[in-house]
Amino acid sequence: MKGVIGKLAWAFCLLLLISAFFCWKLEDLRTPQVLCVDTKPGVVDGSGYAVVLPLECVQWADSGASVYAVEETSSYFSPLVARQIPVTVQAQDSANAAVSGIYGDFQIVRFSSRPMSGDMISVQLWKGAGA
Amino acid sequence: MRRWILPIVLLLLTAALVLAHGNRLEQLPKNRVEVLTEAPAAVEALCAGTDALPAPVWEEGRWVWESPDLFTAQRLETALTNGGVEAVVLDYSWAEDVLRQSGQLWMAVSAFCVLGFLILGGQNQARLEARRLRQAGKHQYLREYLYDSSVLLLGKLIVGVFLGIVAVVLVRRLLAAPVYLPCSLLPQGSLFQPAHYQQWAAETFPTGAMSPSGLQLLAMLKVSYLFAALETLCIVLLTAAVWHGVKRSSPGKSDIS
Repeated sequence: MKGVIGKLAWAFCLLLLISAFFCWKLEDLRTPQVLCVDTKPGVVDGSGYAVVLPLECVQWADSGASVYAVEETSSYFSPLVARQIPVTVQAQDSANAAVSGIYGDFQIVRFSSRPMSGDMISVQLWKGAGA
Repeated sequence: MRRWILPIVLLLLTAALVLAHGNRLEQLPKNRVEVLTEAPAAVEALCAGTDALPAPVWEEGRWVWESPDLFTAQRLETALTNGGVEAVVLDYSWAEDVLRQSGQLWMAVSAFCVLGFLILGGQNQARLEARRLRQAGKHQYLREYLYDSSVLLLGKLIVGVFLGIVAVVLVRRLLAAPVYLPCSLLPQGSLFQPAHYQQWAAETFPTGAMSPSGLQLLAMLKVSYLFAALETLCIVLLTAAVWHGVKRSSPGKSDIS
């Protein structure tokens, strides 16, 4: 009986280890890779604005417009997170939007490899060509 | 000797499968993004005005971007949406990585089997030595036993340390090994959503709208991962057969004096 319990405990621990490994790999796969742009002033519809971003940076929801700004953290597991910042769209044309509500220099998510939702989400910066 | 016939057959079968799989993967279909549209001229004009999009190639009734990056399809979709052009974007920018990965899965499976073998082997050896110590404790002192068995124990310790290093290297390699999947394949919530995978397959490989390259990719994916599954099965069976053979040749309780 003692031997059976020992073997079961061993099998359980091994299964737990293997599951942890696969969960970690899956979580890595589900972490979005993002392509960012810097906040910079620009012109939209002939008027100058402090922050102009490509239109695809702005996410629209019932609560209003928002963007995801990438920040470094001290966490070992999530060294980089994207924080959702609510913004007000002041003007837009077919390619760009002028927004207010972003104070300071940020990297704003333009494209992400997976859909982004939630106030804060762990991300990886894409290191590919043209990034 | 007869007990090693099955492991040898399985080893040869695995090697043959790995070689055949490697041969099949020598010519991989190229990564590409395809755009199917009723207005090809409009798409060409839109893309010419979009930064970071290379010139497309007209092929089999569709625009094709060869050697795309992770975000080429999204850039295209954005440009098409902003330009008000209706089109279907088929993103195969993951093809080469995912196909090549199928030819390397056997290494990961082998690493897991070797690790399992090492853990079970280590556990068995520890149990065996504990049993020997208990047996010896009935008629001799611990110091005397250690003196008598010093060469055997030292040999096992050296082998154990070496195999421990092998295990650490394997674990590090497994942790560092990248895994490639198409970005949109995994669902957001639970992984067990068959409807999501069906929808993904229908969108990525739309029936009747696929190019010859797309069809070739789909066929290669099926065959490559079938090979990978067979290799995995053979490696697992091989590990079990070797373990069975080793256990039969190792000393039993009655052999310990």
